[in-house]
Amino acid sequence: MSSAKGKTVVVPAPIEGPESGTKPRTILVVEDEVLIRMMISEALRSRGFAVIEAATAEEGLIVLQSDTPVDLLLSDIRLPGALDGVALATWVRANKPELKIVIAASHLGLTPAGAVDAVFDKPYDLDEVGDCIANLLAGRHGD
Amino acid sequence: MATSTSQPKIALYSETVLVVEGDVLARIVLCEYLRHCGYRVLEAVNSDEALTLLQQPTISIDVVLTDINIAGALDGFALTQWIRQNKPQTDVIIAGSAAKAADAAANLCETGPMLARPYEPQVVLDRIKRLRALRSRRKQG
Repeated sequence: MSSAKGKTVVVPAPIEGPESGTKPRTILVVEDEVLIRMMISEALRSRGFAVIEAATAEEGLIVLQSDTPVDLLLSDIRLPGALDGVALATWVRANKPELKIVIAASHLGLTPAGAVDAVFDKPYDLDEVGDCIANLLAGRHGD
Repeated sequence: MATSTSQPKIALYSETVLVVEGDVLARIVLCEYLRHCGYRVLEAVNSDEALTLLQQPTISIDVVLTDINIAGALDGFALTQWIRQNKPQTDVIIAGSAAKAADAAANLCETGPMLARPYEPQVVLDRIKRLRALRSRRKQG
């Protein structure tokens, strides 16, 4: 905490994850609608997660192919560019099988069964998505 | 594990910074650094996204840090001009390496020369602090 000019500023705790004292888990959010991306990213940060924002699958791939640690991919299924969310999820399954995958889809039938860990219909509830991600990263499935 | 997941942490931020940067890896480093410094940081990958955020009446943005060469309808200079005209209370920092644009940038960016890339996070933080201090002094004057 720091203060300046009588204004108290509580610095968010970037080094503290959902489990106190642990390194924050990192979520890669791939969403091309900036307001949705902002809302879900801030909701996840408020839970103590580190969040990386990407607007396209190509940006997501750049992150995933870099040294940046990522624990979970949250991606919209429809994305601009050559790759959509399904293609990105397929790449992750093949190349980063340890990553959890959560997909947001306007039509649930578009999501390949078994290819992802969770699917949410859009528009999704921020709390529900946050709870699901917390459970997935804690190793609890199907809660 | 105890995840009080439905109870967001309370965080009071000093300022909100909008970072407009098309290079995702540069954006990650810059934004995370600014968040660690206590800023609320919004991210835009191009000028279209930036304008969407800037035009939201419910979002208050204190500082915009933009690259010159951004995708979208406006480049960094045009975005700066738009902000000057429509959001005069918002400070702008242009980051870039185009020397030829230095004069234009100096006219647009009241605090002087542009930031050089690759970004030096501490320099960015210092620049934001100076901008806000300058703004504060002007308000008091």
